[in-house]
Amino acid sequence: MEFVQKGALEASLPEARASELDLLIEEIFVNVCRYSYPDSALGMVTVTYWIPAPGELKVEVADQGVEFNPLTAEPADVTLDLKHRPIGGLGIVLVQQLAASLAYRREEGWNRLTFGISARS
Amino acid sequence: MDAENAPQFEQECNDRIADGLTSLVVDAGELVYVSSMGLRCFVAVAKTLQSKGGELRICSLQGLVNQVFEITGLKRSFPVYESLESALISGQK
Repeated sequence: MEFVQKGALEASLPEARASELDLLIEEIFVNVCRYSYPDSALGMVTVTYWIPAPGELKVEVADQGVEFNPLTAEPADVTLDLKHRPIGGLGIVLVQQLAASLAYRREEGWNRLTFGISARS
Repeated sequence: MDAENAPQFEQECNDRIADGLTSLVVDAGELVYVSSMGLRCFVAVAKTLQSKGGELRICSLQGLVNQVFEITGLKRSFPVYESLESALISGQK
């Protein structure tokens, strides 16, 4: 998280966007641990960031685990009342709502999820 | 409240429920971060309380935490209050 926060500083993202960045990274990382490398298997995760323009940050999280595209995952129904809600499933909702852009590709055995966060979003 | 410390919150709540409490008020006034692992604990505790005829009340949501509760629809699933005082008064009705 400290690593991508350097990116937030370099891209001059405001504090509120930097907090959202922490949340996006945690959600994506926990997802990789849970779905890409199940059963406590050891696996690699790489995090890369770049600044395509001032006030814009792009982050790619890549892993070599089981193919999983969070963009096509069924998001939880956020309109359900407490009684009918499942206990989990809200991470993907947060990623889809907080990222200014989101793209996934499977490439030579790697899951590559890229999200954008903007000073203006 | 992240993947690392959310289970501790859930355990604390479950301890209070084991003591016999059926409703709890969470003052989120100083909570600056909550991930889906934290939300999972809020939902789990609220469901347990609901099964006992009680409820989990949340008050003083701020900033990112308020935004997260909004996005996930949890502001409509939980009784949410502006202040600790109003959450406590509600329980006395």
